[in-house]
Amino acid sequence: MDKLKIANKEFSSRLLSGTGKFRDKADIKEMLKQSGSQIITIALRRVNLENPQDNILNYIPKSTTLLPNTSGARDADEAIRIAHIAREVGCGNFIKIEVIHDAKYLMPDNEETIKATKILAKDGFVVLPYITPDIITCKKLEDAGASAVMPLGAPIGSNAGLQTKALLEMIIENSNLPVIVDAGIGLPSHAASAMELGADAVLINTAIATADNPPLMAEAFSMAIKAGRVAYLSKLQKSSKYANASSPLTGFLNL
Amino acid sequence: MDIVLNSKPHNMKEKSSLYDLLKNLKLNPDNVVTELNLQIIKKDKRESTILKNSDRVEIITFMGGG
Repeated sequence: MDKLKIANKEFSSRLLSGTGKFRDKADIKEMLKQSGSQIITIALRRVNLENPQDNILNYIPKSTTLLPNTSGARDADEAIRIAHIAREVGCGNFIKIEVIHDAKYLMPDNEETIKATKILAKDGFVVLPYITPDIITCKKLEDAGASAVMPLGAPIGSNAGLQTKALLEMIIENSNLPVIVDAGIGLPSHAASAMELGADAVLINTAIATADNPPLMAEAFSMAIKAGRVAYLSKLQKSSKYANASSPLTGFLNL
Repeated sequence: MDIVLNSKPHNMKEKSSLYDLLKNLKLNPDNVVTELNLQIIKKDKRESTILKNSDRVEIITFMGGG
């Protein structure tokens, strides 16, 4: 399969995995193995002083590219502060901008996201912004120095699939940046559909983390994403309302 | 002296450094970021950063997220 390129880095896996909601952190290690993910998202929070030894970095191989998110940020300034804290840990300069102040649907604030992207990209970050799908926002993010765009398929954690399909298609057709469909993907078939549309990658968290067997579900997503990508590369044909015979249309003995 | 650690009061010996605080809490200093009064204190400055009464310290690390 062809490689995914973000900034100057190449990745053979097109499945980005999230690390939230795992019942048992030990599953994260096995999930990463089965998913083949080379980029994973993590969040930043205060250290749990009751159990200070329990750090998620203990479960993640050093070769993985960490994509810290700015979850918890309600505006650009907070996202910028979180990004700087993330870089200070010393695990690279990738950052997923996530600015949310809508508690019901967890929709991102595109305007504040553009603001934060501009400042952080100038400051040397590899910025991957999480957005409500909109081609104008994508163009502005490209101008602001983003390294990819991450439009949502459906609200975070909803497992509702590609509810924004028509908007995603517009973005994929027009974007000069890699398009990573993030949020809402609940089934491997949703992920395969996103890849068939021409998305460059997908990010999965809830659907894998909350499965009864997360490593096995990670394997399923990995296969679906590969299938979708290869199908896209093989140039799918348009569907039609009418039949188009696959066998010769002549009668059996009428040659 | 009393500092405010992650929004909670925390008692410490006078003239303790930020590095001493991490050591007392048994934290791996490589896995955390320290902020003193909203300013990030870089890893190599922790030993020379002496805490004062009422200082606000945040210790932040990575956790699971999407």
